[in-house]
Amino acid sequence: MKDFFGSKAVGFYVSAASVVLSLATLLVYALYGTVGGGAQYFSPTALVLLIVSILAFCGMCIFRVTAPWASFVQAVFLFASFLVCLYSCYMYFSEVFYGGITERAFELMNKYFLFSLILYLLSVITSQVGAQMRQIKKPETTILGYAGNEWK
Amino acid sequence: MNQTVIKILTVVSRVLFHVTAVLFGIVLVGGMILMDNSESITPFLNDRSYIIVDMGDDDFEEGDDQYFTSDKSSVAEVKEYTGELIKEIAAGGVALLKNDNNVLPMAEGETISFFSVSSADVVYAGGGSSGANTSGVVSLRDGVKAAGFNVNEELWSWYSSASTIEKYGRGEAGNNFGLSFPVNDANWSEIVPSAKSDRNATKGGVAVFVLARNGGEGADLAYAAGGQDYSNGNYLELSAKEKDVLTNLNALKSQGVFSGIVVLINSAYALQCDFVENAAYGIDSVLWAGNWGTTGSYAIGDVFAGKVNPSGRITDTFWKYSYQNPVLANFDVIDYDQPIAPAGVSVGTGGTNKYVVYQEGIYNGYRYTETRYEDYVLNEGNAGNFNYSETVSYPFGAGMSYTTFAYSDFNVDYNARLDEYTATVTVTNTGDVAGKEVVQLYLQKPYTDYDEQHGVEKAAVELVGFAKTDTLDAKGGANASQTLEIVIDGEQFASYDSTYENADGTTGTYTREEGTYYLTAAKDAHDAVNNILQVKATGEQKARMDQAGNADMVKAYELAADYKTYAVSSVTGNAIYNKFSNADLNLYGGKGGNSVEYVSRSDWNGTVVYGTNANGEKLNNYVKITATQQMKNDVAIPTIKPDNIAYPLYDEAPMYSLVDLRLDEIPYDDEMWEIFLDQLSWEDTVSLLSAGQRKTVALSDPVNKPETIDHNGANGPIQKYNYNEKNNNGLAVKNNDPDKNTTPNIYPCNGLVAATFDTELVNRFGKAMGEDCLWAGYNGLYGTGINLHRSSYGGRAFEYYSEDPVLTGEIAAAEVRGIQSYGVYCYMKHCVLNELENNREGLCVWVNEQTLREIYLRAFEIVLKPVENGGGGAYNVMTGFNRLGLEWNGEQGFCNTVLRDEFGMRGFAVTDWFDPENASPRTWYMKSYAAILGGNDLPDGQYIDGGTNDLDQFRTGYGELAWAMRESAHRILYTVAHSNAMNGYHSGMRVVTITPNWVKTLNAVTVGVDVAFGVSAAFFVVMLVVGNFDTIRSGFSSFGSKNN
Repeated sequence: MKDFFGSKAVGFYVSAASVVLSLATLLVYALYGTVGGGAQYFSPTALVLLIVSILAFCGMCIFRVTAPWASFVQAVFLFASFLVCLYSCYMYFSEVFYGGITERAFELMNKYFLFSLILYLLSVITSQVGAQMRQIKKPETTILGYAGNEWK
Repeated sequence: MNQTVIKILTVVSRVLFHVTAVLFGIVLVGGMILMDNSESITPFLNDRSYIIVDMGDDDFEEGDDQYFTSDKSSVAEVKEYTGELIKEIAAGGVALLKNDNNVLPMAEGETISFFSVSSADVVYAGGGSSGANTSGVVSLRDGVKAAGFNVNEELWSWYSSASTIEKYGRGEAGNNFGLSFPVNDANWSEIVPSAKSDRNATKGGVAVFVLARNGGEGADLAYAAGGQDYSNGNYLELSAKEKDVLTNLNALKSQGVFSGIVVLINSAYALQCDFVENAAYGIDSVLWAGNWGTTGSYAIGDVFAGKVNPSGRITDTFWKYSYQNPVLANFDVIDYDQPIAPAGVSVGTGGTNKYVVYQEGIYNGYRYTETRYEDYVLNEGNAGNFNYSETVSYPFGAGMSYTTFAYSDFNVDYNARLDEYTATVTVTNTGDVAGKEVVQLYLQKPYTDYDEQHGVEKAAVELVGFAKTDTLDAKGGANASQTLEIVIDGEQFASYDSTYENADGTTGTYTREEGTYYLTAAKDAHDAVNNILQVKATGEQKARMDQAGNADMVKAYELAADYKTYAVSSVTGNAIYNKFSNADLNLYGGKGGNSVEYVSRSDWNGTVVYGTNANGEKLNNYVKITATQQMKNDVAIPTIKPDNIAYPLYDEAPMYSLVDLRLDEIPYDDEMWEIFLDQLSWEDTVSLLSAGQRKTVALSDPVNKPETIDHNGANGPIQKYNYNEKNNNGLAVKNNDPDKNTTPNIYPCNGLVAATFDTELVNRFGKAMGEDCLWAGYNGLYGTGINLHRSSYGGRAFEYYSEDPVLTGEIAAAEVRGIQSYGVYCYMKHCVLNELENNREGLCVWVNEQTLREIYLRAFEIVLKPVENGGGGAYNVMTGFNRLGLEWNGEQGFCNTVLRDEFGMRGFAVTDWFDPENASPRTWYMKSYAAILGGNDLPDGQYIDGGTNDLDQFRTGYGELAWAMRESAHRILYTVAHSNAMNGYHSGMRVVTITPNWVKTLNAVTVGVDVAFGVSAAFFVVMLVVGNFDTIRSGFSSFGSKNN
């Protein structure tokens, strides 16, 4: 375990933070789609992609061969999940702001939705940043030359 | 290559790949969203999807292509004109309900102290599709000052300040989200900071308390304890603050500070009126004025001053206590015991898994109160100890005047050839001031043993006609009397019997039972039933009446049974029989063990249930439905199967442009239309039927159909005069009017329009609205709203006229005739049973056929009937979101089988708002093919989802649908051809469709991003290989050596 974390660069921790945010997103988004009254604009596909992104990161981190790709794969699935989520919910904005983009309209917005969207955004941004950063301190040459997110 | 350069290029390739990949995703999804909503975006961006080219190959002369013209010269002049009509409607519709101590009219120069935040923040329009811009409205202050009054300016200034409105103003009621019904308003202690100021009520004069309520699309009003009104859960009851203010005003009146207290009701919703006679409030006068529009405040001032003698009559029963209205027992939408939507379908906030039962049957509003009252008087029908005066504050049709009128010489002539009854009555002004009077003609049909046994219900009185006098001079004047004439069809004597066995094997039709029929001329519904009781009740029974009737105002007819005359449509000659059996839970084949006991006058106590007790606590007396497997099967989207029917002709040689067919001499079924329809391509047909998002689309040569603007709202046009300017053929845009960037005046709520009971005035009002549309470029108007006020708590009552279908139908017909005379085709909405707003998308509404036909469809029948048949001749309808039983309105088929085959509707049907399924599952049940096969021709949205046109998949193998599509196209094209959309078009003009600029830009961006993504991906792969060349090579070497 010590070796596991000891070999990780800052990028890994940024991506890991993104995964934590994704977990929070997952929770709030699931609540939004169930008890939060947002079933109408909730996408199960987005939820599945979100789960895949989390599992992919965790699973790929375990193996040395796949670890360098973990943040990349996570970022791809998370971004796809975010896009699907947006496609599913954009009409909500149309309805919320039916009477204009007002402070009152923001107040009336479903709080689960608002919170999950903020979390989504944060986790996507974090994952994109993480995917660009070195994941492992000492580059190790692996298949196709991908080494700790340090492209040669 | 230098390793440093490789490293730099590798980093660059990685960043480029990353950025372009993100952009690719954004553009992909963004593009799908934009294209799914392209028909909304184009007008929003003031872009256009077609151009007009004048080929000059005909001999048209300048100006001859203006088929609908205006005699106004500017937007300002139009607004002045519509403003006058709005004021006239308000003046004619305001209803005086109480006037003790002759507080009204007030003397000129009197001081008026306005109370309540709503006095300065009047409700001019409800929310949603009728939401209007309130800039330019005339305030109450300005209205009464124009009539010669003084205003307590200090008080007004405080109420109208931004800080007061911010702190004490009404909340937003009934929008789609964040449902709340805050009455709010200021505490008396705030209004009267006695130690600080005398802003309050020390100015004397008359206190006018403005009592306002508002609502909107997507939500019904709270009626029971626990509801969200920031008060007590009943939004239409006075709040604690309002009671407190009124109590304190009464105290000041007792001290002589005020000479009187007037309550001005600014609400399209009938309020619970228990407060009116409460001595604690000391209310002298009550004036109902609904939502009175931009210039209505002038009319209020004139009524206060007596310059206008009020002649409006309320269009709903004003209940003393809401809980006594049995409708509220089945007002909430209820969940089935288990979901019925197909597995895997998310219905969102839609109502597919919910239902409501119109258990009250035909007995809504006065049909209940007056019928039960009659049965109480006659001691029939297990009416119990029904206390009318504790139930009703003001009956349907009530309204006072500053003068009095006497009726005489009531007579009715029957014309057997026309099957028409002509009632005449002389009205004489017996008071001291001039005024107008409304005469209401009510019919009572016999409630027979047969009816009782077959579930046919008949109200004690039902409005069948009405008329309004001109202004009659005060008594003794030369024009103090007028004889009014009201003509009604014999059809109105028939009732719908859903059990009648027709000779052709079908079941159910209109019949007229043998018995005594009464016609009476009356001042209101209660007056009517008392008139009839005066004739038919015995002495002992009369003792139970709350007031004597006037037997001279009653004519009785002994009529024989007739089972033939009314069994066919008087418009089309088609047979009338049951078309809605599946909406009646008692007749629906898959009902299982469910049933409904509808309210019946044969057993009032046994069938009437209530929604709440006197404390407002819900009693859960609603009809419980247990879902059956058949319900689950039937609620699913109907499937469509391929067939071998040959398709219509397409792309035949061009013979006509659309404008060539606009002449009235070319009827709908003329051969020219068939030739013209053969010219359409499959793509034209699909395009025309796929997008009706506040428009109909343009079709290019040889059809040459321009795009139209068909927009909200139910009370009148609300868009700016230059809306969608590049596609707008209105006069404001054409003349480049300096006020084209403004919005039309706000029109009054439809309840106030109906309250005039004046079809001549309403027709002029409709013409003004039509003229407004002509200037604003409206070719079609999504209105008017003719659902009924089943209950006062229905969220959209401001868009609808009344609880009564005949008043609704006749007033709307007069209005529509006026609007359409300017080439603006009307979409009557929402057909049908859209009386609830909560969970309206897919909501299952259960109703029996008699109720549906005699009450909720009757208004549509009157308005859709051709003008030559005495109807409004409205072209179109908008169907409701809801279901009839389990079938969505759009697919049920009644658009064809009833609206067209029985009522004679000429135009087309548009759905209510259609969301692409991917974007919103709420309207998951709306399917293009099902709608078109059901006669619902167009979506208010787009049948385009994820860039795919849903209808295009039926290009081959679906002949029945193809023919239905052709007929839908026919209806749309026929309607547009007869509209003001043809203004400026003649045979020599060609419509050329083009790609909107924003779509071109989107395409360019998409291509650019796609290319960039591809190039950067390739670049990235190349650098991956180059940067790891040694590793790869050694890998291959190892691979080779192993094999060796």
